[in-house]
Amino acid sequence: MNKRSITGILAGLFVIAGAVSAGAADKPLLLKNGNILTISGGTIQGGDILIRDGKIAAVGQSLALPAGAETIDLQGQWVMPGIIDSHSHIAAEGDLNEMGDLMTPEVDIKDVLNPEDINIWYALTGGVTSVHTMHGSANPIGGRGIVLKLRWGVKSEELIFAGAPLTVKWALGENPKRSNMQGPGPAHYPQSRMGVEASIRNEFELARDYMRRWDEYNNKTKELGPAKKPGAVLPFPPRKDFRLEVVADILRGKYLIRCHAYQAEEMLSIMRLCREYGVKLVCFEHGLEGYRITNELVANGVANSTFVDFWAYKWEALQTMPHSAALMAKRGVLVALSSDNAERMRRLFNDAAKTVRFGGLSELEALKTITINPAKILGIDKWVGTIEAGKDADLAVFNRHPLDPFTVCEKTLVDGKVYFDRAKVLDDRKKAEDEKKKKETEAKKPKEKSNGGEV
Amino acid sequence: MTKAARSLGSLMVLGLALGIFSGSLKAGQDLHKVWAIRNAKVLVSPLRPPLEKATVIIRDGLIEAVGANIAVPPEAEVLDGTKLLVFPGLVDALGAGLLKIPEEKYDASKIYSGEYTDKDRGITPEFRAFDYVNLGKSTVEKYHKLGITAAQVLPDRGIFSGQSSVFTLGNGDKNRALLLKDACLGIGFSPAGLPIYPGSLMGVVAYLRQSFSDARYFDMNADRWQKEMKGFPRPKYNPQLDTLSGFAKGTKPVVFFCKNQHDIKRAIGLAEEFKLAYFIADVGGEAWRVIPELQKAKARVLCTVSFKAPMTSFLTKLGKEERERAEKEVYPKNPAKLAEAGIPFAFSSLGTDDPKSFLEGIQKAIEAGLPGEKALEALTTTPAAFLGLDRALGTVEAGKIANLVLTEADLLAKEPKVRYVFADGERIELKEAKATEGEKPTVNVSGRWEITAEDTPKLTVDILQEEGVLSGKMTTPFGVFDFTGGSVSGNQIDFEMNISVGGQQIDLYFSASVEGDTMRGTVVQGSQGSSEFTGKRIPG
Amino acid sequence: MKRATILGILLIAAAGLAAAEPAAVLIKNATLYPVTGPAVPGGDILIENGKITAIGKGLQAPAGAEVMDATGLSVYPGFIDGFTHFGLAEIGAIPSTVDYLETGKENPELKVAWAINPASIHFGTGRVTGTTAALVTPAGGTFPGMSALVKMDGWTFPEMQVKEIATGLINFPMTPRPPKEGAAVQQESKADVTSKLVDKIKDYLKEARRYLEVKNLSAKDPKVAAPAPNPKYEALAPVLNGTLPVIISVEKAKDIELAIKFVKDEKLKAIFRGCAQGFQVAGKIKQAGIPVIIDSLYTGPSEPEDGYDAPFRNVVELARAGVMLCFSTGDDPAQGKDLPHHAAKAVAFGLDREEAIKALTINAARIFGVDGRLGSLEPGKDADLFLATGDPLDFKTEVKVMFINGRKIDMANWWEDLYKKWKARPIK
Repeated sequence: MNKRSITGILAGLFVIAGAVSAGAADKPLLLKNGNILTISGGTIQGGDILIRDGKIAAVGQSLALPAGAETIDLQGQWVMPGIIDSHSHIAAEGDLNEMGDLMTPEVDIKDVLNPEDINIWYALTGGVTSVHTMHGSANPIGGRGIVLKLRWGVKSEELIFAGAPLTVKWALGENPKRSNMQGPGPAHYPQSRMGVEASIRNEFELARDYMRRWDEYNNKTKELGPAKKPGAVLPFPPRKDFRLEVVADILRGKYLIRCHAYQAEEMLSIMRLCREYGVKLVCFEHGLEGYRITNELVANGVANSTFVDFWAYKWEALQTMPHSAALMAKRGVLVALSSDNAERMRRLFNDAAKTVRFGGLSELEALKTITINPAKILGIDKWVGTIEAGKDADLAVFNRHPLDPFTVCEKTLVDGKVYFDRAKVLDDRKKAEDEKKKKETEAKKPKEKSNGGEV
Repeated sequence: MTKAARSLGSLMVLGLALGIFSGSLKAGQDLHKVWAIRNAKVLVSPLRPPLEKATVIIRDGLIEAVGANIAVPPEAEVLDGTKLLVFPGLVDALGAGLLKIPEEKYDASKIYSGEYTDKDRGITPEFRAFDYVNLGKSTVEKYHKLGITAAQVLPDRGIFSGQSSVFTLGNGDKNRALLLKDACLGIGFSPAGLPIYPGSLMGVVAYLRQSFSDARYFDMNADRWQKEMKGFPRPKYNPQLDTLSGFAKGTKPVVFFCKNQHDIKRAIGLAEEFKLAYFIADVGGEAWRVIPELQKAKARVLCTVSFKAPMTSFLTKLGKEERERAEKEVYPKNPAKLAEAGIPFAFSSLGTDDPKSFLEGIQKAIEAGLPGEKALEALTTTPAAFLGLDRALGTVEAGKIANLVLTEADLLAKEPKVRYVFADGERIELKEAKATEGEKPTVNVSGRWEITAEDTPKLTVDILQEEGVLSGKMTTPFGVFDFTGGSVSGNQIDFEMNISVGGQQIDLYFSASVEGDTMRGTVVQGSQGSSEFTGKRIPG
Repeated sequence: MKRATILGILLIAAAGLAAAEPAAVLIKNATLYPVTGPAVPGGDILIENGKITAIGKGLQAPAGAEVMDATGLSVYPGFIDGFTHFGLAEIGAIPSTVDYLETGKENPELKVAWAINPASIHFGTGRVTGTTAALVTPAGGTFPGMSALVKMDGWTFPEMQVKEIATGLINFPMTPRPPKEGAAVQQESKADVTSKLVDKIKDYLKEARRYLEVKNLSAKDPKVAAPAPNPKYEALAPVLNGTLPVIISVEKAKDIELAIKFVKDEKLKAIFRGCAQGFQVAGKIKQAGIPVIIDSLYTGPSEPEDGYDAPFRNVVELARAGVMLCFSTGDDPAQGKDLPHHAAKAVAFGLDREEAIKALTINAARIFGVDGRLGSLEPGKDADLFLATGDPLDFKTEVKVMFINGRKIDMANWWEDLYKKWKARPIK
């Protein structure tokens, strides 16, 4: 084994029991001489970022170097807030869809986190520092998702983004209808969009009934009080149903709802349903026809986490254009670009650049779609999404402007710690190759003769 | 009548009619109830230094006395232990090798139309290993060769795999051999796959939570009705929840089959949430990666030894070389690391194909740094304690069950050379030495044979030859009987069995020479005589 | 809005096709990038009767010519997409709209040419970033059929055709990949399996050769009975005698080496497609003189130990070794517009930008044997070119004007139509 190979070193992270602990680097870190895209406060040419205890302590020009601090000279490279992908399925073990039943909010991605998913590493190479990993789109009400920081090498629970609000995934359209994946056997319900929505409404009613029965029990128990009269019939609790507990909590507003949808009418319809039940729908996933209903999205305060140009793979993804993201953004919709896919996750900054040409977004607005906008949608904008003092030091360093076609991500930091360093990867690779060559040339050397005498 | 008397068939008939075989054979069994092993080196317990030149007295299945200067009872059969080591019989903390579960195929179309059963879902808590255990001689012999005399039996499959039972490996009668019935409930994180619920790993976790909650609820509900009855509706009986409730109470333990480090954490989480008594069956061999969590939880681990890196492990994603290195250098250190961290563990044969690879795995663990005494502890005192059987098993001490192994060398060495095994005080001599003494087999007798003997209905024998050892069964009009032993040397074969005819037991011993598809030899019936026989292999 | 029918879509897409054209167009004062020569700032280019007739400075417009002031714009030869299914698929999940996949392992005689739908929406959307020609290919089985080289515009196939039969194709067997995560048993790949499958391909070619030989003999000698007609073997004739190039899809280093040997043994004129691990055997590919069509770079490494940047690094190494390359957008025609962005990714990771532009233009033309007509701005070549607001490899650049066969292309397409319509909805 080439001990120096980068893969060997990555493997080393996992051999150590207890692995690399999460949390901030010990010493303060000064990133100096970079072009800083703060997103919230303009661009600082030739600026510095001081990082302390995993947070951004200061941003500006010619910052003082504190005692004991380490320095990284960015040599004019570009720094932006770490990219946030609000629609992903990485870092989870097993099937991301619970297809055995229709409504499955009792399942939770938190139970199946996989910190060893190599896609975490690949995402870091594309400047991504946080992702929102969700249940798939096979169920009208799927499972609970979770926001993660890409701290490569830590334990599963240490990936979790502390404080991030909880989410539940819904899905409308062809996927919950299972239109494109009929197995053998009779068709299963629902086969129509109206059936999908009816099943969600039905689940709400079941949850309301469940809540009513528990309220009844709790009230009766309270009434009886601590002193129990002889002969008094003690109430018997209803069965605890983990599924309906979550739906009840959805009705109580405890979860941010992320709803996968494509067509304008299904989005309009579900917004009406949510208004009727007082459910806080936060964001449509993909929503490729969202450009048709910007007025309604703004009125309902619903965001859109979308693709710039992944389309026409199924019928409901046809009526769209790359200009959709920009058009929605210009009309006041909170738009994020997301990947839904580990490969696209690595080039979200390229996707953002496309919104400049298609729809005419400004470069700043384009960068917002992969930083502060997804942060707001996920409710984590207090900590990430811009480069400001007080926020987490989640940063991505590129050798050129991130929207430049020839840009490459050079470093990615999470909580002030460098988790990806391209220069080091290349260096380790070269060392491994040199070692391999050395071994090969040595193996090829002719064996020494035992004595050099004449034959 | 002489000729007729000699034929097998008429002997059987005669036996039936005249009860010739009553009494005499049975009497022989009582002869071996008291043993004295003399002058042996006895490893009383892995935690204490061995006794040199000691004597062990066995009576009625129990160890009566152990010590240097012990009087040998006059009725004892003496076994000279001069060159032998006496170990406590090893305990396989959990394995599936002794199970014989009939194969079942599921109907895919039924599953897609929603007609699947709980069995299809992998939810079978009412499955009892006791019902499917196979303690046949040829199976159990493989365990004896490694010195294993007790085992907990349970399959590793599905979500609720069933309830384990613990047996001594000696007498083929499972009722006699039983130590603990329905001891542990097996829980796995293995979804059956879509479109069955639960079809995903996260679905399994949610389902387990709901199940334990429901089991408690069912209990509460049933209790309430038992107490009150008046004015209180009785709950609908649910056999699965009834089974689960015993384990949900925490009075009986569950065992979690953990395929990787994350399963271990999930298991600990669930156990703590529902206050379960539990074991971690470290099927994935990754306990070393979650030692702090195991320490904090005071978990008890069943350690496996196949040392294959699980698919979720990052080490399997870096290419063949890296994975092989991990499986050779990293994973075998698991038991050593657990020992170092003070985490109690016992060895389990799960994941190994047969007892031989179980032992090889343990040897690998020792090479990787596990101290020999720790390995032995994990095979004797620790599993006994885990199973609550430490008053009966695990050491060579007076009062405990006489499960012993007598070897020529260290039991965990490459070549232990197990000579005898005592299980429940019954001595079993291991014929391994004989098989290796003989010549290499020059014939292969695997297959089906038709045996013809004078005045006997045709009998069918199915033989399986594995290296020098034969196993198989004979089908007679009175039933099917498994071989109790068999070997091949050159072109000479022998095999034996014990058949019962109308309540009478007859020992049959066949010895023959084989040429191609024909065998010719003698069959001896107990001590009652013999007859010639021929055998012809049935093609196909 | 009423849901559009599939027919409706196709009718809308047809809007891309141009109306009546003037005889000549003079493009003035642009920065010209001929590719086979140095850039010409403030240059002019004259198009007449479908061809480029002059390039230079201060050109005179002939009578009746349209004069286009291209100040501030860059002119490039149209890009050539080296491997696509344009015109053969609309929506991947709807089988009735997918037409490039036939059943069966051996279909060498199938021709995509007349199956191509010129009105597919993806022609319109695919060319917005500068693609003017594309190789359209079949897929599936070992011998999927024969590809065609087409222009990205035309009322019917004959009007789009550059080559009705551009190449044959062979899908090489792949060394078994490591099992997907979750697989219960990790099985070792047996190197023998691939060789056995390659032998099967060889046997098939041998049979074809035999058939052609006997057919030949029987034509000359009436006593020799002609074999039963076999269009499959017939179709392989030009591949077997080396006159028709054959695209061999292959990815892993071991398989590439096997394929190189295969090509040599069978004396084929080959083009490789994919070569994800080509960088490990770049020298051998160069030595064999085989060009490579780079597949879509929207992919990860073939194996993690190749490195996270393997797909891009691969292109750089192959180019460095002197292998002739072209780019392609691959299996999804809906992603056709990203052709220059794949090239840009390779440049980001070290490919020389000029080499990238060559790969998109003249090298692609060379690989498919059409460099007499396509791939550069030279008098005598087809007037396939575009005017862009900047570097065409840049996401932010807009292609303002496009000419194919000297006709100005209406850049309206599915997307632009939706944008125009829905931009007009009043904001409330």
